Amino acid sequence: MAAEPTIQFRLDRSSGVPAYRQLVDQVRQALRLGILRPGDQLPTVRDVVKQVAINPNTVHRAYRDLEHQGLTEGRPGSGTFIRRSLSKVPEEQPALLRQLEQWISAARAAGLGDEAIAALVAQAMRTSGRKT
Amino acid sequence: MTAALETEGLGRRYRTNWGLRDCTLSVPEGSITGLVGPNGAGKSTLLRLAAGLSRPTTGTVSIFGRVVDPNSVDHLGRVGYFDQLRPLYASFRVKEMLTFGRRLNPNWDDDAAHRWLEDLDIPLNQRIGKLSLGQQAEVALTVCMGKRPDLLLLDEPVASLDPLARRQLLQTLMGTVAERGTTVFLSSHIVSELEPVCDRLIILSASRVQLSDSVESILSDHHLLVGPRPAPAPAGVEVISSTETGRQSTLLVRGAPTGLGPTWETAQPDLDAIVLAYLEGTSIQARQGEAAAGAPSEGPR
Amino acid sequence: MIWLSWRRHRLSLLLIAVLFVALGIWMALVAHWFGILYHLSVEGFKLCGDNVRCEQSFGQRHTVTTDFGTFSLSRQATAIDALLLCVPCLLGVVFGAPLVARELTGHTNRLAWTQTVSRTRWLMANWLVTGVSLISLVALLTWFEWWWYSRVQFGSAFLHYFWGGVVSPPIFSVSGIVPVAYTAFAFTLGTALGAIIRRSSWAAVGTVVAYIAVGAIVLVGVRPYLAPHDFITGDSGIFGINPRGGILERDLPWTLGTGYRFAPGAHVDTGDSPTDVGLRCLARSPEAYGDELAPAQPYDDCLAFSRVQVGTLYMPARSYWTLQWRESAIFLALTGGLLALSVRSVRRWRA
Repeated sequence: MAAEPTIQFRLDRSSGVPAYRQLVDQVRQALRLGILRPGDQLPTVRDVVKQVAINPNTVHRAYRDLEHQGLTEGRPGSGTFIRRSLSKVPEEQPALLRQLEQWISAARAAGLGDEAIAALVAQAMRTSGRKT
Repeated sequence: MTAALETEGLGRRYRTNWGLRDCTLSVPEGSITGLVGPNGAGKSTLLRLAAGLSRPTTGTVSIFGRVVDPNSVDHLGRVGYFDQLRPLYASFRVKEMLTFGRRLNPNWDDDAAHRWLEDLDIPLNQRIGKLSLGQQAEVALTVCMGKRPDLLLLDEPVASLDPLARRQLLQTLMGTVAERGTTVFLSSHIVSELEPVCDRLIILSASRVQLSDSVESILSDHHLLVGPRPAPAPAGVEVISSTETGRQSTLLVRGAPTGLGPTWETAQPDLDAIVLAYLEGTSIQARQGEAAAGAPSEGPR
Repeated sequence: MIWLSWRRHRLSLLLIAVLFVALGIWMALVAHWFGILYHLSVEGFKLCGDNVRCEQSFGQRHTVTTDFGTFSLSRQATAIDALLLCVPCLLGVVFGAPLVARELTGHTNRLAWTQTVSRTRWLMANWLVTGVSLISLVALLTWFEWWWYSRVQFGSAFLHYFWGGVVSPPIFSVSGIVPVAYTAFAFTLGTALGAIIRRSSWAAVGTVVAYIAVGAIVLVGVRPYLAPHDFITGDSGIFGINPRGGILERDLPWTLGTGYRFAPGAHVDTGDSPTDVGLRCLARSPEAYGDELAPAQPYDDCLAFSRVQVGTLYMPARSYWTLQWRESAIFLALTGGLLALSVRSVRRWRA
């Protein structure tokens, strides 16, 4: 397996979030950001534990969870591969992107800094409810 | 699932004091079980009994269903033992330690052993005596794992290692476990070292088993209750330890508390806090036991 | 396992081999000078070399004076013999006592006894590799000693017999095959004590004490009975004969003591002086001899009348090989017992 690893896992031990859930979340995040695409192979369990020094069962569990969510599929003898994407690449939403750019220019013109803009966006997301 | 290691009423006495007492536990095959407790609690005694280097005073210890016999080549071939003192031959070179492993173990995997040392950047021509502590521990672990044992008994494998060496050693260990499904039984007196790698935890204190359960169950079964002093003991739980400050009383309990009043706050303790509570509880019980001269109540098994 | 044993002990075994070679060189030098003395004694007193003066005098003093000083050859030869006598015990202490004990004190047994070899195989391999090496070295040394003894004996014999025959203790115990048996015994004794006592230093002390005790018991109480004795009447002065015309020193017997017997072939009582024997004779039946005894020689006449024979009890030189084989067999049997004891102790060891 000489290929570059597709994703590097990190564990935050002090966060209180169970390890397997952190792994799942990091895969989902990578899918959203387009770092992982359908057809990419996830690192083998052995490679993950060599990187992060956690229990292999933890990795098995995370991979099983991802499979239950339909995001990955295991091919016996080959490994675990991404099946579905989560990202919505900006190019697929040109209208939304243009609207967003207009709104940001208006916010800047009104005197809002980057931090205030981000806070407004977060508040709006909260009040409007979340969709996966 | 068969048990890789099983003990029944196991005890070991040294002259006047007991190193281990009434130890009954089971380590499932394929699991990574941590053994935690203060120094002198009996962790090394238990591991030595399992390795066949000690003889039980009471009870039995069996590995893969057979009572441990230190002169049985079958037992010796299936069990890898890593001693706290990490004995190696100081005048040997690293590659000679590998030859040692190869000559004394018919099931030796020489390629894997070389690969591990290469990944860890340990020079093969260096004398053992000139290696750092971390490197010596890594070589000792390589000798243990190289014979492809089904069960690994590790006594304080990462004690007094710097963080880098600790991580490297655990990485190598986890990599092997992922590949071969080896059962691992390792001890430490630092919980945070064990938490990321263990499925199960056994708490040993005052030479007895205080708790033996999966890490997940331990975390979900235990709760931290904070209430004003004086606080009546809540129903449906077992108090493991309690601390009282001027106005507050903090209890660490096992079980789901029922009928808690509004004055109580609950929180989720982390593994460190839970283990600490058991160790504190033991010392209180021991003192009470000495005073009352009766048998102290057993912790949950 | 053989590899491991050799790798662990190779340095000390090579060191011993070097020391043996040094000892051999010393022995060769001493033998060389004794050879020169031999020629001197035959051709008369003369200079034995440039800047060297050789002296011979009564009382076993053979000295050589060179630019480097004066050496007493007799003393050196005696020192060599004493050293050869100590070699088996020293090897037992240096190699046997730490064989198991060192692993226990250094805790390396926790490494070795958790590999896929039984403890029996571990001990046997260590014992064999070191034991065979030591025995080979001692065998070579003993073979060399045979030559050395003959040179020393020839060179000194014209004046005074040096140690006695090959069957006497000083030469018997360092020649033939018994040194090999002693070495095996001492080495295994050290191993057994090291396994039981678990500390090299105490095991070493115990080895020395036990070896000397066993050696003394065998010398006094066992060896004299391993072959039949000979008895010669008269006093032991008959053994002082000119080597040119009579008995070679190597054929001198081992004197066991003066004694008496009441008939040829009967049991000999030793330990009494001729005077005590005479008194006992008189005590047996004073009336029988009464007036017949000449007052000047009451003992001799009594002895003559009662046909008691007074003489010297000895072990003849021709019994040399019989004694060698039998005594070696005894020590090898002891070695076997000690080896079994060591194996048992190692198998039963628990932390």
